Amino acid sequence: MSHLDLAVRRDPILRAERLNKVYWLGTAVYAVDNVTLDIEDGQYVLIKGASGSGKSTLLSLMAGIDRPTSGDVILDGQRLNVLSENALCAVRRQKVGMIYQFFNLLPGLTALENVALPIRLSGTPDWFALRHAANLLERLGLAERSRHRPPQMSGGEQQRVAIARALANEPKVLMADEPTANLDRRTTREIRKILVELNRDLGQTVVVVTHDTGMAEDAHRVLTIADGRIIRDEAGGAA
Amino acid sequence: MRTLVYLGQVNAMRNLGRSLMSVLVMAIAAFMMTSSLSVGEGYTTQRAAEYRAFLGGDVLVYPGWTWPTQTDLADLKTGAPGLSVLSPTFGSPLRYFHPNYYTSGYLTGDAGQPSPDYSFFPSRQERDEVLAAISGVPGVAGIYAFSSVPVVDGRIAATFSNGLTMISENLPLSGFSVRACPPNLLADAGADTPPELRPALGTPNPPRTVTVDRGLGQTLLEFMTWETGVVPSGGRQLSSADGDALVAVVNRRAVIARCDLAAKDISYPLDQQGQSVRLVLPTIVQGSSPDQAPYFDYGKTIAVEVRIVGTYDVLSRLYSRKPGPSVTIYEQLFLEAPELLMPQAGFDRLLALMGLPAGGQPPTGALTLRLENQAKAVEVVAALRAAVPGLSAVSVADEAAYANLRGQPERVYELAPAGSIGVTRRRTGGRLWAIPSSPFPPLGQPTVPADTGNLFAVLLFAFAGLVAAGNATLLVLSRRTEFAILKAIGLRGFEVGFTVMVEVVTLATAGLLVGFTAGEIMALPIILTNSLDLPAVVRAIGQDLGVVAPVTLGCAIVFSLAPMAKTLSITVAEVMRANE
Repeated sequence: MSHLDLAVRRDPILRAERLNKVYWLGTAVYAVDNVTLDIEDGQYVLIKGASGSGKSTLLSLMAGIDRPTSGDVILDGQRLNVLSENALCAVRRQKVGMIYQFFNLLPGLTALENVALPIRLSGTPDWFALRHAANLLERLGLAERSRHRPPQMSGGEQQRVAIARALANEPKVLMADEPTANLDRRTTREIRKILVELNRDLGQTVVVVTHDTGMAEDAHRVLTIADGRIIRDEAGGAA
Repeated sequence: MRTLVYLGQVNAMRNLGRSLMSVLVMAIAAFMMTSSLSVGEGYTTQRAAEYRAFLGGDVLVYPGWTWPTQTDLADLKTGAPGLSVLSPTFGSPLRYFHPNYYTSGYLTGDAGQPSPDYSFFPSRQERDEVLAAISGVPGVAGIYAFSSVPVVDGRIAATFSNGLTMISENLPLSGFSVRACPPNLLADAGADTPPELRPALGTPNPPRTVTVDRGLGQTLLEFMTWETGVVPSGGRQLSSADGDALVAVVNRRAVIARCDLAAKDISYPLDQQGQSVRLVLPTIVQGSSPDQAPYFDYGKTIAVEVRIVGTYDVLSRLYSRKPGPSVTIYEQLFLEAPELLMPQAGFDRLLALMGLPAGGQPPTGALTLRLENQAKAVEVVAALRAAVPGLSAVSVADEAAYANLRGQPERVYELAPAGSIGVTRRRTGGRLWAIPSSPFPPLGQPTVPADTGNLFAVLLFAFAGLVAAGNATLLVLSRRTEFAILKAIGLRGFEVGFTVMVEVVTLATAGLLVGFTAGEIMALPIILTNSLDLPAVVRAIGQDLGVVAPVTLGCAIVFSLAPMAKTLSITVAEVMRANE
């Protein structure tokens, strides 16, 4: 039984309803144009498209990082459009794990502290947060590097720390924005493997925005976006 | 909360290099405030402590016309009421601070009233009214009447060591006064007497002999360990147990000054058992009506046997000068006050022997007020002037500062040229007036450094806060992505702002620690030379910290609002844009 089969039988974990994001640059520019989309729990979804096609904007709307001009996002049954900024912060903290192209780790904190930070912010006792963070780093092969700060680590190591941080609060959806764009081939393979394992072994819902067409092999579903619209929705290599 | 504080602290340490300017200005501000507080605390406690101890209080009060201001001097003209020459025999603190007003100095106009000789107060009633008015002024802890009578004649035996032999000499006491000993100088002074007003018994090395420097510049090394203050230097101190006995202590330096010496060693002018001296004093004659002041009758004198049981020195400044490169010569300065101090009851008995009737007005050269807090002397003086219009009130510390600018009131062996008395001629109302002018340059009222120091420190804090706020705002703007990350992982806007506040406060705390420590180190010599014990020093430092820390941190919090506000405009979407 595949994860896709499992997902079919469940409510979507993430739904985008006629989502629009318009920038006014003299004329209206639709970064995201009337996108409606359901992502099932446990799915690995890949969003690909040319540069400037609107894929990262769509991801930030679905993650509650940005607000749509119109339309709504329903994440784990919760409508994001009606939430205040503080409530949206809480949603991001509890339900979304974000991985960025440039890792976006806090340079002053060690790897362990970076991973533990979202857990601490949830009000979890420090000792538990640190232990949980250490477990995550160990699982990602970074036990030896937990006391190092980001500037002392390689790009691949930093991205693995970023993945650990994204997983820290056991999010409903793990979203990644060009997670391998800044990495060499070998490291790219490592990161891809980690994402696949997270999805396959833990049932983690994963949404990845990428230029890397090779990652389509890892996904259950591949969405192609152009000019802010989904122009193709097809099964990926893992389907 | 702990996580946010930790985040702010980590950021502060990480960005320390870029925030050095903030830390530095905060440190300077904290240093300035600490210095002004500590120096102010020490300075106001110790300011002119030897004169305050010797005169019996912190503030001197005279009738309104007594203490001329610069305005008075500018308005001075012959025949103006209220300005007059004081009799050289009149006992008043003015003789130490304003000797030119006192003797045949430059105030030579027709005063239009008799020169005060017995009391500054024309009548007992007026004296009592002033006493009643000033006793109600907040901050006044006690009042001592500076009351003395002139010695017409008398001799004291002094002993000198001249090489191997001891030489005795009888020195004249004419020109001396007998004064009621202020209560703070009694051996059993009340517990409420502040330590700096007590006799300085802690002198570690009181020299039994003194080399008098007559300009030869001999170094008196033993004085290096001396403190300023009133120092018992022979015999015993007076105490309330003396009752109304006719016993006295004498200013040793004033006796020494009567010797015709050239670099001779001088021992105490009395032996340890004391010596009886026969003082010739004027009689006191009551005025023609009860509300008129009595006066001294020098034509009719009495002789009184007074036992001198001890000596004291009033040590003031330690002079240092450099006659050559790498040579520093120190010279201890003393107040040569030609006075014998008697216990109050003995002095009252002396007045009675001189003819003062019971209930009569004792001679009064000033009222000396002891304050609850010397640091508030300026405020209390202002309150006194407001409470009793026309009253002449001045702090002893200000008087000492004013006088010391001219090398007074101590005997200084190397006085600067005094200049000459100038005369300005002015024609008024068809008459030519000769108006004497001061041989000294005009001086304004002395200021209180601690007050101006505080004001400057506060202004400096405002400046430091602005620099820190500007610096922190620039830092925030240069780290927008970092704050956006915090928002992306779920920090709310005010939580991000709070980390910035913690960062600014942490930097301010670093500045506070540096500046406060430096300020206290700079102030330590002043605090330590105040003869304060360790708990008092610790208390003073604690009090300083209690002021400087809240001001520094409060300033940091207020001025962190600007960079905090900047974080509110940072959106979490900037994390995504940074990637594109």
